[in-house]
Amino acid sequence: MGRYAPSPSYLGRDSYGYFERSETATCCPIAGRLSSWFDPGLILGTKLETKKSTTATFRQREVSWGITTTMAHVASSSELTVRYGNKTVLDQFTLDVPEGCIGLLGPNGAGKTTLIKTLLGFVKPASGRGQVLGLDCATQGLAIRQKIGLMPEQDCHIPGMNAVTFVAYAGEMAGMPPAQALRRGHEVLEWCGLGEARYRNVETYSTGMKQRIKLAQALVHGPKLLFLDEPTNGLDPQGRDEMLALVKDVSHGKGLSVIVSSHLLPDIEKTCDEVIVMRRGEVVAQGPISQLKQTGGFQVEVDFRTWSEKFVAALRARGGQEVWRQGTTARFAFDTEPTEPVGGLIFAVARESGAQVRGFRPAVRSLEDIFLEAVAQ
Amino acid sequence: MSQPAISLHRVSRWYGQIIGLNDVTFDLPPGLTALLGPNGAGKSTLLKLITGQLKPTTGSLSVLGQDPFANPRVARNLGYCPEIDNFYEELTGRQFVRLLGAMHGFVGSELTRRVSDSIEQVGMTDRCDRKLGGYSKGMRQRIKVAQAILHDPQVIVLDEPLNGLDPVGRHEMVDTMQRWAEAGKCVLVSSHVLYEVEQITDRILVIYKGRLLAQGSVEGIRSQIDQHPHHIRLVCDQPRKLASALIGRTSVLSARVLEGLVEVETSQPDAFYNELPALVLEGGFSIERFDSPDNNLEAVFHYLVKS
Amino acid sequence: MSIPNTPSSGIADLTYRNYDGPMRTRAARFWTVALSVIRTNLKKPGFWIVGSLILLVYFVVGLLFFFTRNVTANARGAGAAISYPVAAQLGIQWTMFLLFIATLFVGSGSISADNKANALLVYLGKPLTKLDYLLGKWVGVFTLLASLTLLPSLVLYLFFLTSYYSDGFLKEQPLLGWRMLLSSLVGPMINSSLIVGISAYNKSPRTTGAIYAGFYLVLQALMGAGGFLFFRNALLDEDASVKADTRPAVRAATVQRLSVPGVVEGVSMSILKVQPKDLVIGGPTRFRDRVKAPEALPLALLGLGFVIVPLALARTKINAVEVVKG
Repeated sequence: MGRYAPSPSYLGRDSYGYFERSETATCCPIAGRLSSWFDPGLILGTKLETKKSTTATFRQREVSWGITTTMAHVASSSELTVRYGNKTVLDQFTLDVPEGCIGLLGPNGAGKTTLIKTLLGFVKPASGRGQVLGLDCATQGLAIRQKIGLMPEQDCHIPGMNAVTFVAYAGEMAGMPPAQALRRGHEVLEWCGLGEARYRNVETYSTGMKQRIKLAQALVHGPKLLFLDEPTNGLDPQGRDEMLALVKDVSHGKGLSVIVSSHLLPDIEKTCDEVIVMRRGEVVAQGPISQLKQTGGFQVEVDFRTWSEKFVAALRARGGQEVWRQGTTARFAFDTEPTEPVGGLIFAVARESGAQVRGFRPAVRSLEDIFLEAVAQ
Repeated sequence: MSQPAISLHRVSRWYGQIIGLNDVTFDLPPGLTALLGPNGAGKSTLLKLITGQLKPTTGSLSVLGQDPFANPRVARNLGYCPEIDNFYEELTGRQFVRLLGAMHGFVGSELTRRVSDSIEQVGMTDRCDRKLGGYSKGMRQRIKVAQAILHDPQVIVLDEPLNGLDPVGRHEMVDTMQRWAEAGKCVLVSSHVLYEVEQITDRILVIYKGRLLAQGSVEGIRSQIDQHPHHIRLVCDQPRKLASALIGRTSVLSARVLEGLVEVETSQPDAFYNELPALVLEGGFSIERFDSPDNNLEAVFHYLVKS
Repeated sequence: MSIPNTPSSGIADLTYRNYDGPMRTRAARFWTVALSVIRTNLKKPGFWIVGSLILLVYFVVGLLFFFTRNVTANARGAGAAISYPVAAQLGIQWTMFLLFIATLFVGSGSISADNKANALLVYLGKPLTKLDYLLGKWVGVFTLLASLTLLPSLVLYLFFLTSYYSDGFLKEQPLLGWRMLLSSLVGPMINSSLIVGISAYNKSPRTTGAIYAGFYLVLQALMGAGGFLFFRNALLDEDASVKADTRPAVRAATVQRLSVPGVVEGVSMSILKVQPKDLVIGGPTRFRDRVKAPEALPLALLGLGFVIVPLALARTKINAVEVVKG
């Protein structure tokens, strides 16, 4: 029954009117009238709003933590214990998630999903406390979900809707007025790169488009914290690049913190500044990626065209031991920092041994190495 | 083995008017090959043709020397791990693998032995007696691979096998696949995750819009992409001086000076790399690092698909 | 408020920007879900077809009323005129099956389609409780079904009011409007609760529809047959015994109505104060006076059960969180 026309006002001035009665932006005129004339939210909402504000502040004071640094941590838990039946998934789990774009890594069964579910208030912890954006996760689950966006891993959509209806509906469920939800839905879908396809039924979408609308429905109500569960699942390389660009755009400088949970470590490296590695319900490594990547001692990685034993021997003579080798790439470690600059050394050895060197760089541990080392303890 | 395990000759397949594969010809010897391509390029059509679910509209293909379509003799020697995720949720993992193994004709103690062996190979021995309904994605993936290798096939086709596995699991699966390749099997892996494919194997097949776009080793393909000259980045303390020295060489197409580094374009990478040490040492430049940012699979794929 | 996007002279920044606009309170959050159900179903042509058929049936009822009242005024069948409540009851009874069809259309996909598409994962990330979701679905289905029964009976009432006002309609039947309103709501309430409850347990709208249809029709057939047997026995006992004990006949009438359509029929009969013998139009009158009205209380209790039990079961079934072990 008619298409949604994108609101042209996002480039110009926006008028956020409170509870505007004249908006009939829903697709069915009857339902549109319904929602603006008879709207229990309008009737009940105005009265309740004043009442709620006092209770809200009272409750916040009630669950105040006494932690002075609540603002710096978007989420934290303190001695959190979660059990499913008689199986303990998280035991005395303590974690502080800083602002910014954080990667959450861990093998399957480490408790990442359980942690997210507990922080969102779906699973009651057996003991301990958790807080997200200053709200206690055991008692204020609804308020938390108001402020966060969740992009689930599995395929999910609401049947019988096109993308605009779906995202606008998600916004309305989060409490946005219908007209704002529609306007914002268009804005977010445009940013996600969904063009004319947004007017088609969601069931006809490809995997890439479905991932995008999942991201859109998580962002439509302007959350302060975003949980992304495997955002690049099932995407082809181009789709992966585009999704990672979107995640990078939203996580830097927009007043939004992002927690990305993924198994694909290069994706985490591209988007996140810090990582948290979990294993069997406890944190085994945490910190900025650049800091974690530093190796002890001095190491250099060299790429060859073809493997050359003469190069290896010549370098050994100058103090460089081969640490590992994969294909035509090898890593060499020096016991003491070499006296001459490394570049000169490598080139000299290359000229001497006649090997063709196609690249060298100071070696850093890859995120995969960090992860494997952390979980192998 | 003189005969390639999988061989396609001018195979085309269309669905009504929509083209799935267009005039594809290649031979796959034993070993590990990766099949790459964007979604909708024809990868699933190709895999269905190879596993005998579809017949080619024109052209001929042979797997282990025979036509695979509805051919039990080929199916006996072919293992397929599909991408779909549908199981009988009430069965346990072991029962599921056993059910599919029994369909190959194994019975009794041999079936039990094979089931245990294949489950052990995928690392699910401790968890295979739980119902499939409660499995995580990675566990389902492993069960799928277990059923594909139970009958010890010569040709194994895997569609997105690393999907849902954590890095540890991925390493184990890659090791397993490389072991199969070393044992002489022909393993065809279809994947989207390019950096993983780089670690698995060097041999790739690229399908794009129904056509076979490239075949061979990554480096070989890269050296053949003429319109994209090789980019090499050198981080140096005197970029301008280095650039002017480099520009003098015939192998160098262009040299761009950026903040603290020089970006060189060359269409003769061999010649360039051979003369670089001499140039650097004579000029007294101090190079902190240098590499070629587009010499990896991701860049190669990008160039192939965009051009 | 977010930063306004008016560049003085320059290129607007079209990257992501946050939303800091107005938000509603949590009150009546279920109405969003209900509206979505209503919107989806108003688009289906089947809904409008069933609606028109129901209107047609009420039109026929009105016509019947008109003819029996006016045409037989002077003819020998003077007692054949049907009264206002009887007309309303006939309207409800004759549209019962159409209401059932409408329920299948509207309600079978209500939660089943969401289960199929894994939509609960979307709902769970929003500030909605289980109750909001369930209530929203129920209110949506109920509103649709109620509009199908309420509006035609409103039309019928208006017909009575306008055409027979001078005949003393309001003086005769002052409360009929409220009674008709109440009795038209019984059917939608029971039907919507049952179908929403059943759909919460299924992953496919078709299965839900099939289960509901089976429950509805089989129970109706069983109870109808059982009631008929009881009635026959009651009549035989009455004939055989000396005293006229009408209790077995009443019990038979109650047993016959222990199904979904039966409950709706029985409860509306007691609301509208209509006897079964008034409902027989023409035809043999041999057993007419011996058919007794059913007991209202057991039927009302069963109706309440039909409303509460499926919703309670659905509430336990809707799990916000799937716990994956292992």
